[in-house]
Amino acid sequence: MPRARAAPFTLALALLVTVGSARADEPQITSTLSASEITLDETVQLTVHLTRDASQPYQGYQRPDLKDFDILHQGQAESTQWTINNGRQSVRTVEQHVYLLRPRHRGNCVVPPAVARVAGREWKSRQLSVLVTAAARRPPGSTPQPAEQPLLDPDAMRGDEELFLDARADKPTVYIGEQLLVTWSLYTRADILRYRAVTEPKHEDFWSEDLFSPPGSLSWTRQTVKGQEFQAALLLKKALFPLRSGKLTVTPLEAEATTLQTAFWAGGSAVRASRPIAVEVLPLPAQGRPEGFESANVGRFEVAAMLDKTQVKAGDAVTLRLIVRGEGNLKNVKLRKIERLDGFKVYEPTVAEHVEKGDLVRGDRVWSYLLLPQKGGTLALPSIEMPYFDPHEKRYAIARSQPLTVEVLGDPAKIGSGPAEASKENVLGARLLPLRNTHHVATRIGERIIRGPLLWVVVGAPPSLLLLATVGGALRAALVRETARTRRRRARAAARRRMREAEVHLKGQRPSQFFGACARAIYEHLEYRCEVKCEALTVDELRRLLSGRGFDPETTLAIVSELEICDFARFAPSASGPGEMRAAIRRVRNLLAAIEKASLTDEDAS
Amino acid sequence: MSRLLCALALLAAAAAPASADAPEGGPDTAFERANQAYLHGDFKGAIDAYEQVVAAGVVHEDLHYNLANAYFRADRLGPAILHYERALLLDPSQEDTEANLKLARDTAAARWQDRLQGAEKDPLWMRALAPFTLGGLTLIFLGLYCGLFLLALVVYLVRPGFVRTALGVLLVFVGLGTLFAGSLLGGRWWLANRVEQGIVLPDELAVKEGSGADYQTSFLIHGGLRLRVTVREGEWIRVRLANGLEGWVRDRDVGRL
Repeated sequence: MPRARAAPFTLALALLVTVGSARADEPQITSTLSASEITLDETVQLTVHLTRDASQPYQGYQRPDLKDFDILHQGQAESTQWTINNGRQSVRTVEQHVYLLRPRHRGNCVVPPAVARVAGREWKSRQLSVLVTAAARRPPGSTPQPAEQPLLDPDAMRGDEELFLDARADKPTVYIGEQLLVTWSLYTRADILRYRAVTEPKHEDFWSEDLFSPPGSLSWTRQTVKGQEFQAALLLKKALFPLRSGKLTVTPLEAEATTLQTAFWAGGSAVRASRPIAVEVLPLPAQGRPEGFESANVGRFEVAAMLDKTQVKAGDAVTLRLIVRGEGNLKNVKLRKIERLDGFKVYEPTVAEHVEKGDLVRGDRVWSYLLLPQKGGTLALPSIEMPYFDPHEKRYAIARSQPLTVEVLGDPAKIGSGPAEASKENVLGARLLPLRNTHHVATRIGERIIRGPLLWVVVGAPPSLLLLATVGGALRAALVRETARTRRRRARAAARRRMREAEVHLKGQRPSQFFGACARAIYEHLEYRCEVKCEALTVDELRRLLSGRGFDPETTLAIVSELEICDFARFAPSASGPGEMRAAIRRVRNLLAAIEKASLTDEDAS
Repeated sequence: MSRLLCALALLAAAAAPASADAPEGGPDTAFERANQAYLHGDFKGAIDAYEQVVAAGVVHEDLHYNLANAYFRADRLGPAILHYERALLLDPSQEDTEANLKLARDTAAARWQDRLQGAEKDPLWMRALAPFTLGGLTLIFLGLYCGLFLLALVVYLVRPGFVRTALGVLLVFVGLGTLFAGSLLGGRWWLANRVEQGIVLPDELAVKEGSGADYQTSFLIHGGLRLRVTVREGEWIRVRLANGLEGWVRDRDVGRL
């Protein structure tokens, strides 16, 4: 292609891409209906999708003004999409609003546009419409709610009472499971000061729903009964659902009323009882009973199904809500449990109910199932059926929900088991802490001591040792201390030692050593008595000392003489023979005895 | 000091009462056998082996802790609580014991709960002594006590002067410390031996009006409840709860702390 001709084509392509990408950035809002034609007793699901760039400022979403419909249920879901377009990454937010609608009239019912305000501009979806044809049967929800009934003339009145209780049922005959409305009222001609129930009515063969009980004080209305003016008050109102067939009885209500004393009426308390109520309960007909019928499903019901999302990514779960709405014993209503659905993993449902209590028990019961798609593409959810018995029409009927579809983007098999399983909690609560892996267990020393006799040994040992040391020291001191007796003993021992030494020298014929030993014996004994070193004294000094200390002159002379003999003999040993030495040893012994016996003058003082 | 401890250990070993129920292979072998039984899920076998070690006279916090775990796993919460309490008495600083004791008490409370109306706390002196262990206090006291006499001997032998005066002052402080430690030890010993505390062992226990099974039941108590033993009469004991309630139960149904 020549360059000149190619340039405009390239420009156009670039513009197209630019415009295309600009359109992709714009918000998109679409509305879809699950059906274009329904009957008056059916429902339709409206789904509004809003896709916008997450970076754009968002001012909000406005629901369509649904004047032609009742909104039975509504839900909302939001997801985020990442896309890369021409190398540019964008994040888009997808909102999904789902409404379950019931038409209010026949003909063309209009669904106006839904509005979203993004980046300062309004974006609207298309207007839709549904053709509504006549209902095949009277829709249960449209049953007129009975207005507050005025109290009727009590048929039990004798005509002469001033105070009585009336009990009545709205029907004499009902089917099993059909609602029976029972009311108890108090009639009086006097002013009631106080009221209390003595015995509540018993209804063991019925499932009961309390519809009214006095909030505290009674609400009175004026009534004329058989020509007499009465004050009447509603005491109790119950919806009873028979559980078995036959003639069933509701026992009387017994109440005590205290009347106010006036000029016309004497005051006082009175106990009154209502009449028992007998009801004929018919069994449900066997003819025409559909398969799967549950005996509790008696009333008028419709079933609706709705999904929180009609489009999910692989791995995301959707919530299917099955709604049973109508009149009857809703707390007992049963819907066949969904065990499995093709293409889905079904989790256990949660059940919630909302019951409105007028004269009729009505409301809805919702089963919410979490469904996890197991494959991609468009998956169908079949219609759910609920057979029930309509006591007004006296026939069985089947309520059905509309079939639904879910579009699954991607293949769940390729992304594993999905977040529903991945998000299972691993709850780690308080657990027992593990064992101690000790290899040696023995009683610790402190425990051993305190638990055994060793404690007393250890406690007793230190003071005992200290005591022993003290006693030993004292003994030692006592032994070391010097007294007159010990000195005498030591002196005697020393003298005996010298004498033995002298005898040895005598036997050895050693006169010099013999006389030396004798002289030392005398000197040492004198030293013991006089406490003076005598060996260094001269003869005269010794004589004076001995005289001064009280030795008698003979002894003094004998001592001095003997010491001179010893000195002489030590220096002239040849002059002393054995006989001389034996005589000397006898003399020295006598002298030692004389020294010891001598009574000295200052012995004690010294 | 180490020589002194060794000597004390030898003396203690010599003084330890010899048990006639010595487990086969010794306490350590039996303890290891019990641990292995526990780890392999044989909790009854573990309890038997641990109880043999206890019967052999071994007093150790790890033994009581492991035994308590085995009782817990065997779903016997009363004995489990008893042995956790014993382990804490031997060493109050064990966090794992405290955690397991709390778990055992919570588990028991989920099954039964004895709510004592007007329960009184233990006296202050008992709560003050609770953190001290008998063995630890014994060692502290004996250490100070022996040190006191040693110091007194040194003071006696040292000549008068500065050193002797300083040692004299130290002697006074050591004496005061010994007195304090001795008081704590005495109190702890009294608490352990004279204030008899116990734990209810069975899951449910009927407290009788008198010391016999044929007397009428006064009230019911449950496993793990702490009580005090006041009187013993044969195989029956009179127990007192924290709120002053009293009654008679069999001795074997109360484990002593």
